[in-house]
Amino acid sequence: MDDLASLIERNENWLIKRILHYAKERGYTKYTSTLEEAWRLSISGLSASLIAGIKQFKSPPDFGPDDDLGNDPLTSFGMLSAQRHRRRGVTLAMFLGLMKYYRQSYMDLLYTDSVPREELDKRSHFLHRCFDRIELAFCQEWAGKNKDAVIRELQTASRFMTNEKNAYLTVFESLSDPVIMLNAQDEIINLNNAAARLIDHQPVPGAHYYHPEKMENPVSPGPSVMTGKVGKLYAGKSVLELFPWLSDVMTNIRNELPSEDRLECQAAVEGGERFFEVRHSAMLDVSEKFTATIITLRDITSHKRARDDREQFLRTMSKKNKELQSIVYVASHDLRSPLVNIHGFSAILDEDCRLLYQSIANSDDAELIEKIGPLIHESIPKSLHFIRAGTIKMQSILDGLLQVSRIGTVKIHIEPLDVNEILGDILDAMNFQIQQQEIEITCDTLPACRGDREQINQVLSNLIDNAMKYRDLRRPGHIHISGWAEIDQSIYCVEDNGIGIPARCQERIFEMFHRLDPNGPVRGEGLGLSIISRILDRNHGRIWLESREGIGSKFFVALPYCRHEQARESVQEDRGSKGKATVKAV
Amino acid sequence: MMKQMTILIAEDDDCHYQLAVRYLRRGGISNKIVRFNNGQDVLDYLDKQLSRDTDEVLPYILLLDIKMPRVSGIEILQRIRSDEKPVIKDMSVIILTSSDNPHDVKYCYNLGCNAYVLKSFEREELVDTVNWFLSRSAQEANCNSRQAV
Repeated sequence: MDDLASLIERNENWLIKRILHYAKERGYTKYTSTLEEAWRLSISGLSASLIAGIKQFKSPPDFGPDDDLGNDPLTSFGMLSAQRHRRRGVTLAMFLGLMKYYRQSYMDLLYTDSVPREELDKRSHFLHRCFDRIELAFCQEWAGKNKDAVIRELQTASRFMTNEKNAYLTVFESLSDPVIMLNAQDEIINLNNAAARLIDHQPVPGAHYYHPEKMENPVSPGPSVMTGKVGKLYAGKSVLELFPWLSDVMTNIRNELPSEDRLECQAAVEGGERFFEVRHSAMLDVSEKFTATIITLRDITSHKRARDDREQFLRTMSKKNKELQSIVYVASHDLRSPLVNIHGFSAILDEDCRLLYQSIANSDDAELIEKIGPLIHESIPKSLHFIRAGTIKMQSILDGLLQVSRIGTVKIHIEPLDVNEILGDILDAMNFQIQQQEIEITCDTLPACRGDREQINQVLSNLIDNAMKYRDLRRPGHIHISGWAEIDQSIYCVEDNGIGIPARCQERIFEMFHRLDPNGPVRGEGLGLSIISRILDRNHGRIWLESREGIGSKFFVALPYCRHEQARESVQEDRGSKGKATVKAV
Repeated sequence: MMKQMTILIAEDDDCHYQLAVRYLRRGGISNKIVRFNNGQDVLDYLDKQLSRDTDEVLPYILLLDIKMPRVSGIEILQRIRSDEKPVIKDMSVIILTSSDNPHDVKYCYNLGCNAYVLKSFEREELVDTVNWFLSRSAQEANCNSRQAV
């Protein structure tokens, strides 16, 4: 019979389904538990006693008139069940009747196992005797108690039940989120205090449940309890009558759609306008007695206000940012035109001075030459020289500003990049400068990355250009470019043995127009690093450095990682259509 | 007698125009200069000149600013290069502009401009460029006149 025991043990879920099927079919579910867990407990309790019985009895457990019941797992289970169910108010007919269907379920299980007829009969006989034993003990126990004892037992159980019920009713009423229960006709069965507060500015907790006029509560059997203050009656009213703003969720419920994740409703309720996140769920009832739908609301009014404020703020920021960009663009663009004039007419004035000087130089009037000569030959040309220098400087700054602002506005195209190839193009383009300045540049094999080709090209160009500009003239210049891949980033390093950057300046070098030594020999407007910085913002990268004054600098750039193969594919596709573009650093 | 090229200048900014003229004159260029402050006027002028039906049709060289009111310099260039008459289609066009955007440069060359000069230019830049086209046109005119004979 060990096989029988294991058959029972293995098929708990099958048995639960089976007994539920019979219980529904025969109408026992009117009085039984709703949650599947309760049925599981029943089956597992019964199975445990059967398996224990199987283990104890080697042959079918027959019985006789003088048997002392209660000494084996089967009869003790029967007696325990009797005590438990009698207290609950279950009638003998009810219990025994359902037990017959439990027996049937286990019998049905036997037939699912394909064994020879002889074995089947053996098992069937054994199981029947087990159930008989259980029922025997049950009946003896049930009938054993006298009437008074039974009544006392029932009263205790009833008090306990009432307390349980009250506890859960209180939980229901105490929930801070409004909860509304609807029947299949979209009428309100029940609603908690938080829900009532939405339509009644002075709701009484539990008033709905305890309303004397309430028709028989379809949720729990028996008459409604008539105590407490009389509140408004909501039962039977259509939910949309009282909560018209729930129409969206009602549509979903009627169409049997699942509860949406972020369904929001705007509601005009007691106390003003509020926003709710709405969810609905069906009652978890395997006995299918309670076919209510439960609607829960979460008040997100303040949350929503905060969210709306934030969105508004972001929109404003974005708008202001666009305005700023266009101001920079327009300013730097429109300022060019008058500069052209200043620059050009200064040159013309300069030439006019020379012509003037030529004409007075041939004059005989020495006094004239002495008085006017220095003005025309030295003073005025010098002033003009400074004017020209100023305009050239302004043009340079405007060019830089235009370049910087363009980074934010130009269309960006992120793709896998073969950085070795990009570096090759840069070094080719700079070849003349490199030879001329006699700088040695070495590079390792670099990992691929994801980014905009032109912009990443500019980043590397600017870094190398800086390394060349800020070299230490007392020694041969070396620049080394290396790179490695980390989990999700590719890191690149441009290292030089130049003059380095003092620690106190290192934070500021990325600022616009910042120059290490504004009066020094190195040309430039100080925009190269801020351009790099902005490009990296747009390409999901970042830059940092290590530097020691007098020794040299290392600039590190991180960009999103990309597999080398992807970059190679991308290069092969692009060959032919893209030119080698490098942009001069400013 | 060799035909002298007329230099057309399409530039809406007065100061820029005055600057260009002074540079050209001081650089020794004495050809006739005609000024337009928008591109449409250039085309109208050319149509009028050509409809005069003379044998003496002057070759032209055009200094063209991109940013002009109503019709942009780009569009003028396109219409010139797609004209049927060779005098217009093949004329030398020098773009004068403050935009150094590489895309703009490439675009103009693709449309068929002959040169691209950035404002602000030095006097030599403008004069040398114009002289180059003047002399080329003179060579072509020489060949043509020899062939005619």
